Amino acid sequence: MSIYLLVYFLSTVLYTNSYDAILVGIVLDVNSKEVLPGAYVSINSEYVATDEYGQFKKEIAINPVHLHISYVGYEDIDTVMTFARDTQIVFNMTPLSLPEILVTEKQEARLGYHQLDKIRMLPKDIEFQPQLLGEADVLKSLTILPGISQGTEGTTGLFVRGGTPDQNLILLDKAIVFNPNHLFGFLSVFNPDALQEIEVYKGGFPAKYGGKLSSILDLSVRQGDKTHTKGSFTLSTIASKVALEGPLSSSDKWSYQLNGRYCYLGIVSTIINSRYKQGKQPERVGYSFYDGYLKLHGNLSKGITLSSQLFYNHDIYSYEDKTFDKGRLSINWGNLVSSTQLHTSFNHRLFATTTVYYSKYDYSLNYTSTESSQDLNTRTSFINTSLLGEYGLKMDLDQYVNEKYQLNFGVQWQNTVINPSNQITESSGTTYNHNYGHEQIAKYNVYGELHYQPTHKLEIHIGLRGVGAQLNDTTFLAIEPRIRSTYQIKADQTASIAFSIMHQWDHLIANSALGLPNDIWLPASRQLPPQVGYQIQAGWSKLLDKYNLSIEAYYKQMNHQIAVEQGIDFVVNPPENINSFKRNGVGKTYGVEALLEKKSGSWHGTLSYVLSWNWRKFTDLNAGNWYPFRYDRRHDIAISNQLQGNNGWSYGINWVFQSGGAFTLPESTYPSYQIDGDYISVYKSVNQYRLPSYHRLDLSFKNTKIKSSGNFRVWSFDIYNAYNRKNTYYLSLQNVSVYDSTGSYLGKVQQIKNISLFPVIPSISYKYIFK
Amino acid sequence: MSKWPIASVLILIIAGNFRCGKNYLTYDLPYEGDRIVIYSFFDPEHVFKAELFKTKPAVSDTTKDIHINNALVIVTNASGLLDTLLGDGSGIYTGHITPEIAVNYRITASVPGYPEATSAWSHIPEYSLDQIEFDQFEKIEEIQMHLTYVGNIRISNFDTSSLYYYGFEPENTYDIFLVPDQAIFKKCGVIEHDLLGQAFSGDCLEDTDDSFTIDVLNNVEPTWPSFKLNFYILSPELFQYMKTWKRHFTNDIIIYAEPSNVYTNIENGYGIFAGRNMISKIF
Repeated sequence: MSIYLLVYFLSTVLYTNSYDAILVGIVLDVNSKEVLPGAYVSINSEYVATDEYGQFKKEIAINPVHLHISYVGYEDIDTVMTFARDTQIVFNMTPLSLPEILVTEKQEARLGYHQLDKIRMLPKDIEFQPQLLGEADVLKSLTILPGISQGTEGTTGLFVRGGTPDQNLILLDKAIVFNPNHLFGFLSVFNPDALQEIEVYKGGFPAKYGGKLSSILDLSVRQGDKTHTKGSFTLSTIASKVALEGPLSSSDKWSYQLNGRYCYLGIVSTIINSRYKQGKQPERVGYSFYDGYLKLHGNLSKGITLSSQLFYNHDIYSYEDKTFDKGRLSINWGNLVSSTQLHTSFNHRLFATTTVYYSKYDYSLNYTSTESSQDLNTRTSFINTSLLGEYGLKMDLDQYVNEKYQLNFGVQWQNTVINPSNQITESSGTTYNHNYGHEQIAKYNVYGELHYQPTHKLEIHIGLRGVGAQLNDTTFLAIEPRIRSTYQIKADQTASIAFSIMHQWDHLIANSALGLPNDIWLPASRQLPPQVGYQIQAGWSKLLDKYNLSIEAYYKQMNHQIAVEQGIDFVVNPPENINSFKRNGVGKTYGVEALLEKKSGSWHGTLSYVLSWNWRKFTDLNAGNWYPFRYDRRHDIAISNQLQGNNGWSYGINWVFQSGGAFTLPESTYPSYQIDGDYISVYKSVNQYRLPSYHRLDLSFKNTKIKSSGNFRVWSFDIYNAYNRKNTYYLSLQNVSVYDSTGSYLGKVQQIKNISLFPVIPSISYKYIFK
Repeated sequence: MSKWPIASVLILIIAGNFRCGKNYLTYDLPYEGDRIVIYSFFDPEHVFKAELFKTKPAVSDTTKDIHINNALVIVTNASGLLDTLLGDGSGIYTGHITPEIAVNYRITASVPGYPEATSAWSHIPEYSLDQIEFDQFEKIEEIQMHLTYVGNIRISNFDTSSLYYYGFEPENTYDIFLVPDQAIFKKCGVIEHDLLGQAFSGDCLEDTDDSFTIDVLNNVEPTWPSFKLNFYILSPELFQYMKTWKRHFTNDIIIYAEPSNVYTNIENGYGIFAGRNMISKIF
């Protein structure tokens, strides 16, 4: 409390008397009383947007005030008001009669500039995208935007401006999420029905964020309807979802939101695998997952709100083979994430948010095999478990000083526990136990950021973040400057520039291909210094008639990168110690991103193009020369269109193109001594070849019907990879039999086989929403 | 009814029958040219012997025999030429001299049109397996071994199960691999591990008692009349070769493993020239 009083005192000292009044507005849905973050507010033709709490603040210098508030899916508010003193007003916006998911003809108000490095998405934006297996997905939807891509098909994680998946800070109501993926990267663990909005930063990071190099994904969970109970259920090709929300009290002060999803692939595979039990097929594969959210939100008193959320997901994958080695593999993994936030409004100038959170990710892999020979059975088993957990306390304060100055500052404390790998192996009666090590990192951060707007055309953000981490007897200290500025060249043109330094206190040793979760997290140490990232970017945007055009160039350097040693996999030959990695590598990425958007009218669409380079260098790899990173993709194009038709129909078309990633092929080969017919490959340079280009067309057709009861239903038909492109998952050197034209066997030749994962995949889903 | 669901079904039918994209790809892989591959393992019980192959481009015919039959293969020691190995026409070259323990040797192979391949120096390691005690047992159910080390010894169980496929009449055999220290292991604890074996740093075992158990209950037929333990003493280069070959063999069936090269101590060529020794104990 003392820090709050100190800040309040300082705020009064800094306060100047050159305005009429401070207007603090809170924008809510009139029915549910949920806040509407990102609403566009025009005050005498100057624009602001509501924050994550639905609030905006503006100094009123001229009366009367012409207020215009707009938000997609809601009726505009247009009014003239007069303010003689500091005032807080609640603006209740009325939803349009059409369901949220339909595209409206409303044109969004414009902020005056558009930044490529900050993206804001709403769940309705995700619903419109073509879906894989009938499931809308948050992370997949982000990949149509420039600078954000997925790895090869079937892999997990987002690659933002050339970074790696571990370099993305993913927050769910301010709590970190370590592994946001289900199997094979099909889906993320985030259910769009439960979310309020998603903010993504690719650069120009605000000082309140830190700990990761490449991006910030800040997801907020919906508060729930405070006045009415409503919900929905969805059945799709692979999963079913149930959502329920409503008031917890009759006073419209408390609400809850409950969301659950269950994947029933396990049930389907059980039916298919019945042949396995009957001995008619040698292999059995099973997979299922479930995830769920619970959020409580309440207004304790005027200006004080409390919210608490809990998220849990669990995945199970199993494989059994009766033939080769009677192998049996099972993998379990999941996240548990919880956070509680107290948001306090001290006066019309000072706002504070205090967050306590806990997050845990764990996974276990269990493999057994039995080899039989001459009536002998040799049993081998392997168990590998890994754990990552973090709990912390954050205090963030926003101080509105006056029209020109705003301050954001705060302190953060986090404790991260990492158990990278605990392995138990049993072979031929001998048991071996290896624990990589249990580590704790205590992190302390303090930050301050000044928003300075000397004129209505120029805005400057200067931030400084002090970071410290303690691991055993090693202490890391660093300063991270954050600078960004925008200048409005003309009414419809804006230029921006930004510079950031970021530190990351962990390394992820990722499985290079298969979308399995058996990655290994390692804490920074003396031998594995923390990663450091430097990023500079410059951008320009222009508002055309109905289009936004944005172009941005960036350069990013990442120090203290690590790479896996040769021959390491994550099942049979996992990394054992520090010598399993190549360390102190450097990465550099640079490129140009362009985005053309149309967000008004019955047709919405985006066209994005990225030209980029992505390099790595390690002293003892590739003779110390720079080599292309595995996910170095020169050209990246994404076209996304959504069209509103008649009779409740809406259509979506997505087309994505990526240049092939880099990979290593052997340059010569020779026979093995131990096994006849086995050949040993010789690899000289790293990633010297390119996979074929990746491109894919997705289609979606949705039909929405409003029932007489006011409820409505939605049928969705989706086609993933509509022209059945054989996109490369990996390449394999195989001995292939060759024949002449008469069918005579000529011999065997080594050829490079193109293995792909997903053919054309149709899907269907049904959603019913009741109010 | 809208025409769009009908259109989507048509798209599926067409796409399902015409998949675009190639099944096999062609890359113009640079090839450094033919190189000599030497496989030569020497021990104090046998004369020098080597098997020679040549390399070939990565993507090519694998059915052709690529033994080298016209090579000049010599073994040298510190004093100079020691032995000339003679070929039998099938790529195998046999010498006349039996190597000694702890003496450095190297092999050189010359073939017209190939760069000359020469190995690094290698020797049969000396070992100081001072004492091995075995518990008395009546049935072959469990063997406890107590080992006292003088000098640096590492113990590696390596790929023992493959021997059972071929069998040994009428005995059963269990292999243990020891790698005398050549400063290649820098820390205590386990330094090599895979599903079928383990190795320990000898620095931690020096002058200490240690014991480990081989549970042969699942691996031995109780009616067998005897059981044999083979202790292989490996030179460090042989250990590195076996370790990296094992990874290569395992990664062949694991699609997500990082590409790996097999260790070689042959300059201008590939393969391995390394010494080893073996002692056996029969129960």
